[in-house]
Amino acid sequence: MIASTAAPEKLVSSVLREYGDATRAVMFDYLPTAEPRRYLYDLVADYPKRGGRGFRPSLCIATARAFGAPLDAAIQTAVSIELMHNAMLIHDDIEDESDERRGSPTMHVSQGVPIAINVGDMLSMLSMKPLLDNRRTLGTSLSLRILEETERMARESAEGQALELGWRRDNVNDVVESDYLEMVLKKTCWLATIHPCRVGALIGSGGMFDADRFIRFGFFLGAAFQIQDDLLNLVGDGKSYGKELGGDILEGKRTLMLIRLFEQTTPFERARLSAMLGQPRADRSPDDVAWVRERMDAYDCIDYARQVAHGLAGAAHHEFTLLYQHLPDSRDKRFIEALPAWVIERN
Amino acid sequence: MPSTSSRAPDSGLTVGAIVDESVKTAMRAVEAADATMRGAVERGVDTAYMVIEEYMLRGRQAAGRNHERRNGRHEMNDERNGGSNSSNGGFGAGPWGAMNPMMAPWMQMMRMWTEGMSSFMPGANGLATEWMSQFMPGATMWAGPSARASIAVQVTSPYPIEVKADFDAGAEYSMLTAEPLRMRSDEDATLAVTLKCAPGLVRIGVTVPSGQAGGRYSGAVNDASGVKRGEITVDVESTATKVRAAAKKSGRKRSSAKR
Repeated sequence: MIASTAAPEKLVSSVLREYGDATRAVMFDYLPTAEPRRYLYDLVADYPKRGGRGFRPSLCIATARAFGAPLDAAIQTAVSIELMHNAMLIHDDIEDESDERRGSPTMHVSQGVPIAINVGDMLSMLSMKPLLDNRRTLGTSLSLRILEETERMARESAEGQALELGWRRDNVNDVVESDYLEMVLKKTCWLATIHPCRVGALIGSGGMFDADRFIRFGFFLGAAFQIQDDLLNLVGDGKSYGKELGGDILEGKRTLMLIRLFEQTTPFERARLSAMLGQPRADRSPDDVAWVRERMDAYDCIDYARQVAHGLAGAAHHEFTLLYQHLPDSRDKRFIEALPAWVIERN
Repeated sequence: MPSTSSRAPDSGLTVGAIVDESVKTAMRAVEAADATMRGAVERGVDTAYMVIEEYMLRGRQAAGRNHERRNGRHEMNDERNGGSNSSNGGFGAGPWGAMNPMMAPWMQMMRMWTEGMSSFMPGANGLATEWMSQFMPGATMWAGPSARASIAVQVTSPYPIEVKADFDAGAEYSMLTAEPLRMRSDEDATLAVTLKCAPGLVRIGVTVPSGQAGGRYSGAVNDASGVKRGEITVDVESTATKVRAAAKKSGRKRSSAKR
């Protein structure tokens, strides 16, 4: 385990709460309360109202503040990130055929797929408004730069999602660890960690810091985050996790544990696994999920993934040191330093 | 494994050595891991470095092929080999680029000179520092454009009043709260104000009830940690008191007329 004490964990929790609350306070101003409420605007507020840790906006604000910017300078960008994240969650839930999100039925389960797609589209568009409003605090040039960054993040995320969906549709079973990590780099890391760090540093330095320097740090942190998320889907506490346990197996999601299982298993078991993943989701049974889960235990796939996540968290800490060594000590810098340990210990 | 031949000038290490260092950091972080699991850590970190180095190399190659500069920058910088590296804090994209480390002592001297000069200029306190910071990336003061805010004041008052709000430069507007305003000459005389802050906009609400004593009321504006970041002052015209006194007087007159 990455060495950690109660103090950094407490710091992470309190900063997440503080910046999460600040983001939500402004975010709801961007959600219209006009008609049509029943089919659109009430639903647009649904996922944001369900809460969440506010990890992405907090990372953006903390990075900007670690570089010396005030919270006001970063809050609009943080709001945009959170809105975009919620938009993607709605579409992801449809694509993954997920039933639960943050402890309640997913948008498409409660409202139907067409309405849910439209709500996701609207949230994506609403996420642009705070970026335009950045002009008031950041000026035109830096605001435009952040818009460019957002466009790149959205492009990378969609490419990553395409890889994962394609592997599932075509039942691709020769995915190796490096393929998986590249998919995670695009699908998860750009939105969850790389983008918030990049735009935070741009805001904090007035556009002068080289944003590409955050790609490595964001990648290691985000990959450790994703692997831990996938682990929680198998071994997490059902109540606090908010989604159905074992749902990833049912969805046929290519996780590090599944890839490891393909590598370690016997030809007979591999054929059975491949056949099961080749079926439509509705035809996969709880018995199938239980069998895959049992095989993962038998081949130490879960411990393996946990150790890889620890390694990536260590690498993230290493890159943090290279990136932040020139910045003065601050609460925000300590928060970012504590994140690699936090992402692999959260439940 | 990533290529071990390319060098990372920021640390004087090869990329391979950086990976080794990273693996060591990760290994130190793993408690009681057996040999197999240590292999998992090593393999995971090696693969991850390979993936990210290849990804960044592809980005650099694409940028080189296109020769396309957008807003004065490439699609992806070669920050391990370029002017921006950890020896200059990553500020290669700043006004001095790779010259940052060499310019730093000179800029520090210039800062001291401008600050010294500004002390002789009335009202220039702090302006020189702010102006110089645009040339000094990484200075403790925020190097970006200053966060500005519009101030909207909503007043409900039967008397003429004047509202004055002073906020410190750099105050974080979305985190401010106002204390009740008090009259200096009479601490018991208070006036409630509301302060609703959003990025770029501060809304101050003042409601003066009928019968409020005239005079100057002031109160601190604090940030989230309780540190004073400004002050709100409301001058309620002393006619408020006079009006009240006049009303009393005319009341007496009317009652005497009845008699």
